Amino acid sequence: MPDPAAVPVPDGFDATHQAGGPADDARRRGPGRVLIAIYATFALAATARAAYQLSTRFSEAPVAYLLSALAGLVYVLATVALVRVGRTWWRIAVTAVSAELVGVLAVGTLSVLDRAAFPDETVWSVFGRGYGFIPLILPILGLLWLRKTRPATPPSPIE
Amino acid sequence: MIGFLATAIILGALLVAGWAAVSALRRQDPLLVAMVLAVVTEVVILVQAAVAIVSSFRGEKADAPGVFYGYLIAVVLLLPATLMWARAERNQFGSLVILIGSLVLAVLIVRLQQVWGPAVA
Repeated sequence: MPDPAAVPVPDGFDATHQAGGPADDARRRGPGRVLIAIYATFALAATARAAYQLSTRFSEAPVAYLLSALAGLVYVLATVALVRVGRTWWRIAVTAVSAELVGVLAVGTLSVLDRAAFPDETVWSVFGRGYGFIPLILPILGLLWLRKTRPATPPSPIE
Repeated sequence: MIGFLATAIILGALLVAGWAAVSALRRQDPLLVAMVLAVVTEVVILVQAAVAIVSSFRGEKADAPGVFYGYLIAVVLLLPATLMWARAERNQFGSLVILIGSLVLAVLIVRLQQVWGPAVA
């Protein structure tokens, strides 16, 4: 895998892309496209897992399964916000990815301290161990990427 | 589920992944070879899906049909979605997207087999 830092995203990235000018869609270009692919995978996995847990075994561990559902929603929101163009979506993405970082740290810590409360693995259990700790690394990469693609100019009237 | 078809799909997914990894390292657009491999793999997936659906109509059901069909839908849609998402980025990042998608596919096939229960050869 090439070092992402070695591949800086140019400012005027790709003039052939028509939607809203080059700077606007910087979030889903280059490394962002890879990041979004991983986010979409987790959005699907976490949501599907939570839906299954809630529909079949909600009474066993309501708190853990509701947290599981929350994780799914956070991933869905982060994915959508990363794909969408504009400053507002950038702020939503920052909020969602921050919530994701807090979530994985909180649920990770809780699941280590009190295993009985989390009888079933959730996406964030033990800092995402069941998913190769990607859930722990992903929000950090997400925040770094969002800092790099922070919109510099006020929103254009077309947006 | 047919064992050798599942094995063929995993093999196809790993071939796509390998090609995408090489392309990413060479900072290239993976699309032609990866696309051909992915299309072949997708055809095998569709055959596998059809076999699974037909055999469940014959009473040979997965232990948890809801979970099985959830995975099956994900498996069928994954490669097309991956290729569509990668297509806009004709460089090493497109290759990385295909690498991730094909590895996820291999994992999903393994899960699909586990969910189906005892292997039906």
